[in-house]
Amino acid sequence: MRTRLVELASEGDDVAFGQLVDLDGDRCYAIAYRILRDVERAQDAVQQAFLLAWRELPRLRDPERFGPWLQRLLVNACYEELRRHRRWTTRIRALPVDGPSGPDPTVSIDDRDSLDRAFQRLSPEHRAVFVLHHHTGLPLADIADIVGAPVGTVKSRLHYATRTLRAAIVADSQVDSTEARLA
Amino acid sequence: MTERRDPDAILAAWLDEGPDVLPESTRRAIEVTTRTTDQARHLAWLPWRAANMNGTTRLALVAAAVVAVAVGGLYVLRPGTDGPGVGGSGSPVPSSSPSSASPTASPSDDPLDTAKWTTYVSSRYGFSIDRPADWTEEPADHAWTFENDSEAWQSTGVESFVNAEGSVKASAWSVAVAPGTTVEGWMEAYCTGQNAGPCTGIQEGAVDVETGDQHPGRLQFGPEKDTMAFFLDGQTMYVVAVWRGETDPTVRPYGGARKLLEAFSSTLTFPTEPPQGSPSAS
Repeated sequence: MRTRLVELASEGDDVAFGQLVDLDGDRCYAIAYRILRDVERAQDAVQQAFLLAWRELPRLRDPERFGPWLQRLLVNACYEELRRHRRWTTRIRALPVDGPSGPDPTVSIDDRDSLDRAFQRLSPEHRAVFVLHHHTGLPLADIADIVGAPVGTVKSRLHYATRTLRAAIVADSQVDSTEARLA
Repeated sequence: MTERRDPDAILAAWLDEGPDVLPESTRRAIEVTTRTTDQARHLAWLPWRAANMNGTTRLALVAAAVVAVAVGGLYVLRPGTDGPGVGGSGSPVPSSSPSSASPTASPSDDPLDTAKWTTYVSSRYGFSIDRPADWTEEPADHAWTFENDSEAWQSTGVESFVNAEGSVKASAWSVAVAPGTTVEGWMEAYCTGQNAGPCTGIQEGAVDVETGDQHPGRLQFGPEKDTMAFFLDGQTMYVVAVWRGETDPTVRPYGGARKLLEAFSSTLTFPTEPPQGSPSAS
């Protein structure tokens, strides 16, 4: 069904394309939000990715490749968002509470703050690999295809990003312990 | 006493936080922009596609052509200019057709600065070519052949480079050709190989272009067709392409597809030893 929609959309059928947006929009938005950690920028990135997909669809030879191709456009749109807004990375951001995935009680305010700050320091490329693997559950080879980098590079980016974020939590725990001892 | 914490569980929970449903306002925005945005077409060669155009587009192109001819005529006939003039020397590139007027070598003004570009050496084809530092490389995974790849603009038998936005792709490859092949003849054969439309005279809109090691070639461009340069060295044809039309918005930051292709071509250096391969269509 998806393949047929891709074929129709590539022939200019905007209704079919709308159905593709319905099918893939949520997943794209979830990925974009987690890479960008900003609701508005995630919306912009998704819109940009779908607009580019619409424009370029006639050039996509294999409709079966639509999924990875769209994700590649999305990741590139996220990179662009991050580059465009780099100087505003310190702006205050409120965690969205609407939808099924509001704040998790497992994550303390301090954890969240530490993770947010550590994630902000990661490069766009590290963020993308981390999210595509740990949130979307994609294998490294698929991620390599999406981000246009060798599997080895993807692996090392994933390792670095995971280690950095884990370290942020551990450091936060150590501060907690010290404060508890001093209290 | 502090409770033992699992960093991975915290990390997973933190990553799960956040929205999972695309807001309706964004869906609507996509819907509106889709309706008001034209799709790109793979218009490799204008004459073939002209038959598929709607009336308005055809009319606009005809009008543009009339203006271009009028302006070009004024330029050519104006006395005291450095233009090609009537009966000018023409192109140094051998032509398959004595009657085909060859536009002068006229690199676009203010070429792109390639000083900070990164050099890419093709292990498959032996040539070297520079690409902008932030572009991604997509190496060829097989040798390009006329029989198998000329119809597929997205052939993976080409060395490709994609810009950071993923919106512009440039490619380069080479292929062995039969003795006696001319650039113009091969351009026409390539055009024909891509589709069944009329390709005779396709080379007449081409302009001269030069590689980094001063090999002359021909550059084919237009508002709605892919921009391609062809260089013949002995029995090897080198092709460099920017898969965009001259006026496509995605190439505007580079000054247009032609300027971008000229920049790529200006960094192309042929291998000392030509790559091995069987002769292709002439």
